[in-house]
Amino acid sequence: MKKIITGFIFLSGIISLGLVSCQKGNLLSNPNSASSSTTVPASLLLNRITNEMYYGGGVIDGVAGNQNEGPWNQIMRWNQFFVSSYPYYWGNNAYTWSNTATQFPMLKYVNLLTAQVQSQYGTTPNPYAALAKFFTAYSFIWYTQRVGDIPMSQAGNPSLYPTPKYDLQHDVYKNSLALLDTANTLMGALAANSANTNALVDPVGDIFGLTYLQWQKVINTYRLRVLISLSRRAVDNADLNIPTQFAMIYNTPAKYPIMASNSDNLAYHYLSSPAKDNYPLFPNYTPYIGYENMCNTFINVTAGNNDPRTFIAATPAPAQIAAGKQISDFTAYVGADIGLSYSQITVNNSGGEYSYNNYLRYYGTASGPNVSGSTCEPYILIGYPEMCFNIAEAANLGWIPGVSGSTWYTNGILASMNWLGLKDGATVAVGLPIFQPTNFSNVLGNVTVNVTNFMNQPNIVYAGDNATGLKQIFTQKYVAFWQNSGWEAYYNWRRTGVPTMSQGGTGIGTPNLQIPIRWQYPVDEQTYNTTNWQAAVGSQFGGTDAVTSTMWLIK
Amino acid sequence: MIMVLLGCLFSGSSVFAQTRTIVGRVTSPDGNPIQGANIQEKGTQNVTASDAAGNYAIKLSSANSILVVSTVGFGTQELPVGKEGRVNMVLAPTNRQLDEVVVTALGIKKEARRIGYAVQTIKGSELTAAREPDVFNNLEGKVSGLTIGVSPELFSRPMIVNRGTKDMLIVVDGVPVNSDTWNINGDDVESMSVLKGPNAAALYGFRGQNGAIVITTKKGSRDAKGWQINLNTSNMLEKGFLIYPKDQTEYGRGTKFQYSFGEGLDDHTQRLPTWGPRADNQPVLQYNSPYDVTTGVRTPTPYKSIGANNYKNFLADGFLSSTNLSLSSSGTNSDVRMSYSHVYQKGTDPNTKVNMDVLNINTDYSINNRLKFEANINMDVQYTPNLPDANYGPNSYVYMFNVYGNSEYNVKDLANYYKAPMGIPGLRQYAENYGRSNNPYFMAQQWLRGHYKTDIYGYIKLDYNITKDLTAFVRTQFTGWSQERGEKVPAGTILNQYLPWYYWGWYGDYREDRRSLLENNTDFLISYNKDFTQGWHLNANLGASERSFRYSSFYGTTVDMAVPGVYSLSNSQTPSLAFNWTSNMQVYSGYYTADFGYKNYFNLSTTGRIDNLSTLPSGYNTFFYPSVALSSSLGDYLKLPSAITYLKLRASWAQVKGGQTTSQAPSAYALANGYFQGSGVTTGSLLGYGTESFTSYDGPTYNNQNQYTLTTYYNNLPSVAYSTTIANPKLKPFDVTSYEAGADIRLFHNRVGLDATYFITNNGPQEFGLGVPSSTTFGYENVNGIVTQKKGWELTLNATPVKSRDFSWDMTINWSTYVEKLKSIYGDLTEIQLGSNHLYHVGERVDDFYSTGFVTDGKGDIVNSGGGPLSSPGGIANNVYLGHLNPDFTFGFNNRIAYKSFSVSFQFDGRVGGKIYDDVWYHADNGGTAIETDKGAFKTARASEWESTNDGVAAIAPAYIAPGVMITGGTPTYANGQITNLKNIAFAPNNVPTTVQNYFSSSLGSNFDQYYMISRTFVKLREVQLAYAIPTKLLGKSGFKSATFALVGRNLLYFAKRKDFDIDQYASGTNVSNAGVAQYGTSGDVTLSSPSFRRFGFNLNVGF
Repeated sequence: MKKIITGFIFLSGIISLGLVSCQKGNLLSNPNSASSSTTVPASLLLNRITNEMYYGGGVIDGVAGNQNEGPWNQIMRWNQFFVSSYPYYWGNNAYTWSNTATQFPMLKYVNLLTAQVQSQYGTTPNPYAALAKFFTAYSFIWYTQRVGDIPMSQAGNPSLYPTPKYDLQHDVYKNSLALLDTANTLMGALAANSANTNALVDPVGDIFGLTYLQWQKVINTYRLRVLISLSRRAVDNADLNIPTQFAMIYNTPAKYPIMASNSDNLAYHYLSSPAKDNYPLFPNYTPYIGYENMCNTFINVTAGNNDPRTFIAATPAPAQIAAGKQISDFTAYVGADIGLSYSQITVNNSGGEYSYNNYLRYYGTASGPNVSGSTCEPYILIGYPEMCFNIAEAANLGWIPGVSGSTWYTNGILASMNWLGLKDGATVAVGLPIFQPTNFSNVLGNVTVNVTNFMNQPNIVYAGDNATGLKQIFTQKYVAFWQNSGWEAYYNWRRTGVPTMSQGGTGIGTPNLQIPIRWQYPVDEQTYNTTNWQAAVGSQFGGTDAVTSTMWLIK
Repeated sequence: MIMVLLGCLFSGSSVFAQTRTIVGRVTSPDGNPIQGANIQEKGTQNVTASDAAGNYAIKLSSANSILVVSTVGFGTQELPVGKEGRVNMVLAPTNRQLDEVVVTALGIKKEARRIGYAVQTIKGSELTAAREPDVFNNLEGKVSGLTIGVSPELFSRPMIVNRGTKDMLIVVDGVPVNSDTWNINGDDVESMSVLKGPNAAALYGFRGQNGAIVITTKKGSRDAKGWQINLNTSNMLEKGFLIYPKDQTEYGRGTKFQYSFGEGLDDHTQRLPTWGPRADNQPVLQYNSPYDVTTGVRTPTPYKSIGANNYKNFLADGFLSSTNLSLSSSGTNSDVRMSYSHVYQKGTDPNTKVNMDVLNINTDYSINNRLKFEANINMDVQYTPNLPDANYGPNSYVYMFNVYGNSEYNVKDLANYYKAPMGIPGLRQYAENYGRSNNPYFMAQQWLRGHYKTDIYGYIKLDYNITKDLTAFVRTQFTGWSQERGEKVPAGTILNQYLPWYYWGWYGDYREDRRSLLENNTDFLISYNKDFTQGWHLNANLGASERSFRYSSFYGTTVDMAVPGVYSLSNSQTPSLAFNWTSNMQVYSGYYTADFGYKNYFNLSTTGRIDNLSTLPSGYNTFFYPSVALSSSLGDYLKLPSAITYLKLRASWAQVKGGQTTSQAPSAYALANGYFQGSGVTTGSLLGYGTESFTSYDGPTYNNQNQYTLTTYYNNLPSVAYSTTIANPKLKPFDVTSYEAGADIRLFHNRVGLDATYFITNNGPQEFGLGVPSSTTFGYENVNGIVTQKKGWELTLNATPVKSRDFSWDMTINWSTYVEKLKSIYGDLTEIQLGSNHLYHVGERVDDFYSTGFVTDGKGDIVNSGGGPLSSPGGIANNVYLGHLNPDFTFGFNNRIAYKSFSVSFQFDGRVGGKIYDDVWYHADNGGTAIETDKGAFKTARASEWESTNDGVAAIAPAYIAPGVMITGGTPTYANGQITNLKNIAFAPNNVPTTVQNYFSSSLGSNFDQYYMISRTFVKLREVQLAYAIPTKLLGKSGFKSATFALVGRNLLYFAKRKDFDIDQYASGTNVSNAGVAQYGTSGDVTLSSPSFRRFGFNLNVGF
């Protein structure tokens, strides 16, 4: 008996060895990722931020209401560049947007970057501190121009402000402009060092691949965009000093360098590898080319003005070619009215009435459209052509004493042409998709471009610093936004009404068939920040958070 | 090998022959053998069980022994043993069911009268005649409250749902196993007890929060010879569709009535739906039209509908064979059972199959009356070179045939998939629609997904009887598995847009997914069991356990193979990618149970458990949770009306806590997927198709940490993603609390029995990622919040309408229902967005489904705009209520009719009520393939449109006028997706024509989920068995002790409004109650699925 008990205890002891040999140490932390207290190189955070900027607010995190800002996405239909004639493959044309996404994810990474930079760099000057100011301003402006008042002073600090209060849109702009000024000062100090001036800021973190000086130019060029976007509030908000700030930047290039050519563009370059960085239309959408047509809002101002950029964007309508028109005949290019119902667009499309997108250019290569073998159409986020038109507008409005809009208007058009590879004597291959393209050789022929003739047309020649000239600036700026600069075409239309976008048709899809002029606040603000949200909606829109309400910015 | 085994047994039996052995047969009064009766020599540890033929053998230690025989439904009897060597026992069904024994938590057997919570037990023999590839499938309809979603896909895990929650714990012989359901071989199962509430599972800790399936395996049994062999084999053919989507066969591939194969040799850019021309014998360039290699000219051939049965012709009959051979034996001091099973399943998709071998050895050895060793090992190997995939993608046959299928080719023509000149062996397919889909035979033979898995679990246990009343055991168990899955993507495969790096001349890819898990559970338990003379009884257990857990997974893929046909990760043009994910966990637990009762007046059972869990932050990682259950057998002390034979009432309360673990394995595959989808657009995914394999896990989630995940967004540059959820260092464990009350009533001498249970389960406060304002720059914060409440009923009705000497009819009806509602959120919040579609308010059902719906004119007519239905302005507030996703109730109806040696049994089961999204229908409508696109008004319009094109030359004249109205005046305003100012709006009947294609693909499209929400109701004739047990006297001296032959059928009939996919597989609409795995307000994980088949065959069970 005793032996048995001894045996039992002995065996229990052996098994208890299993208990002793159990796993020790920190089992709580995830061994597959880096904890928040880890040192993370600033490059990796900047990399995330620059990607955030390319994709658009909330896109990487997939938050509700996000829209990809690259070319050929939904927003480019809302810019009325092209229309979908088959929603299953290309999505809806309708403007049935409701609650917005935000660009606060960018602010989150800016905050993380700032903390990492403080612990890693201390007081050593570094470009990240300057870029952090720029991206902070960028993220707030991104959001405020969509909705109105937004949290700024208390945003991005959940432990201190779990329910951030809203700041007036006016104050958001004021503070953001100040941030941009600081960003220029910080970056300027670094760029002034000749070792830096033409050196890349960060080849790993900055996916746009710009130098110190170029980033400084981006900061100031962006500031010009912000200032001009406030044109409706320039007069009645003297405290913002909008025209004077504009003039100061324009007149002080040593302190505020701005872009000098397309090579200064903040642009995203597509790659042939890895595949996910291919141009968005390559190669998957090739079979669906027949389901996408040009929008007449765009075609009316290009083909209608004999603009060679028509050939870059579109193919002639099959019915027009069948009727015997030449491919160089601008009247052969016809866009669809986005206000029509799908039913109508589909039927008209199957009748060959509409132009398609230029598939030779946009579907054929992994790294993006090219002319004569050189990659020349990366996606512009903030670009030189737009800047030219912004200056032209400011000049036209008299913001820059002694400067006329004329030169900058011309500069803008030529920069846009140049960006697309268009100059006198250049040839553009024009194709026409058949329904089963077997390859990309369905070339109808070549068109020879004449930019000079285009520029010399009476309605293109700048009419002077008057209302007509202003409208010309807006129109040419719209064309220069073709498949780039995100929402800018829409925002400029909202501010200026140029060009005349299609409204009133069933295809618009909203109850009043008009294009919305703002977004509703995110549902999470409504649910989890109710008091502040209600106060903001109450003070701005009489309590209704509607897409038809007019915010301070565009009143 | 069998001979060797037999040889061992014979020699073994001769060794033990020297002791006195009693043999005999246990039968019911009608002569049917009783299997699994427990036979014990009174006052000793000598115990055995009867086999399938009712035979037993037991070694006796004294001359004047008394045998105690007990079994479920027949009570306990004592029989003195005389000098004879054979004792046959006829057991009368007990009138009072007092001594029914149920296996409960920790494997402790309890008398049913002393159990205060809901348990339902199924005998193993009920699961092994009409076979399913997975024995858990056989449980469907047999247990109230338990729903099994049987997948129609080969080797796909069933969805096991208990009281609306998934992921039940599986326990084998008292120890939880971490493995997949395939691992359990039905032939080794003595019984399965389903412990439905956390009441029953409280002692297993947080893993038992959703209930547990407690499996008792067969043990060694005795026979006069000292050994026994049993053979059970089922062979079933899968033939004939039970569910099959109907396709139109009039119109071919294309769009807008236009189609032409390219003029060149091959045309790999076509990706077109079935909206092409009508097959009118007109000349069309087709894939098999004559092609002149020298001139490069293809000559058009007549376009005909010749492949109406392409899918059926492509599929083959499936086959399921399951054979088990078991040997059991015992000596004076030992029992042993060895079992070997082989399961072979041939899929209905060509070149798909699964093999599975299961070895099980169960043995015990008593050193003396006090000390006993027990050991069990179960090993399961699953192996197949190719499993099919079914979802929306070019890797799936249902996609190819039912969504984008057309009938203008004959699939048999594609059998030679490298046929020249289009095909080039090893490089290019001969394909009908190269570009949209692959040649199905090419897929079957070349695009292979292998699966190799080994599951092992086993334990060794030492039992020690310290005194008559005090026992103890110590046990250590290992459970683990390793799985390897590989996917060979051959050169020339069409991946559609799911793999953007496809290009002509691409040489394929190879992927490998390896995972392994190892878990050790070591525990000890001291039990005190005493029946006091005054009628009091006490059963107390005190135990402790240690659980040590480790999991690791690896996923690797080539990025374009450098050389075709060599499936190796190093064969990659650009560096191959590798990902891994590991986790570790440690759990220490202490627990007790105490049962205390007086006669049959009451039994009070309490349990308590304390866990220390490594996944929770320090200070919050040790927690206690209790349970209480009370039962009383009223009939034993009250005078009840004579009709009532037995009446037991029960009530219980239980709590479970835990946290930061999940039942589904996170994998390197998922990590890889996230890594690439981090770009925010799907084009980044190299893995955007295919179904991830489910593997069991029960380990850490690491969801409550502020952490940087490494990723890349651009040009393979390193980058990071930071948590979107704010970690909470003060996060407490989650809480599940359950209340349960029930009654067990037997009437008319047990001819009718009703077991009823009512339960309330409060799930929460959960560990919940509560939303925060986006202006904080985060999305969520972990809090202890959200309580949902489930209330439900479970009823089991047993009846024996007819019973005579030769003829009997037994039936069982299982019925259950529950509703889950949002009880509270967090703080003073009254609404919360769950999923993306709806703001749920406190008190609302959490399975209420909101999505895009039609706008109506107030009179029920759909409002159209521009020819198709009008969309409301959109946004979460305009989503329309489209019904609730969970069924109203589920039921199973089992019958067994016996006449002499013949018996017929059959089972109907189903689910009634609720809605489900018909994904097959939606995609097939959109593709122009579904029969509905060519029926009624659509058929008329489609024909008219086709004719208007003059053979595809002219523009289409739209001919379909959608039913409903259109707006002719006024601007509508909206709330909740409907017009609020109807009185200001003028309507007229819709008169705007649209094309049929446009109506389905553009207008309806994915814009109106309402159109494709269908009833979830279905009923299945699940199984039919026609059995003949050869009477013992006929077997005589044949050497066979028992033999049963049965004709069996499964999935024979299916009743539902739409029969294009098997609703059965979606056992639950939502999965809210699994803490941390919530899936709110979506249409669930409904996706494309394969047709399902009927299964017929026979079962042979022989004992000798």
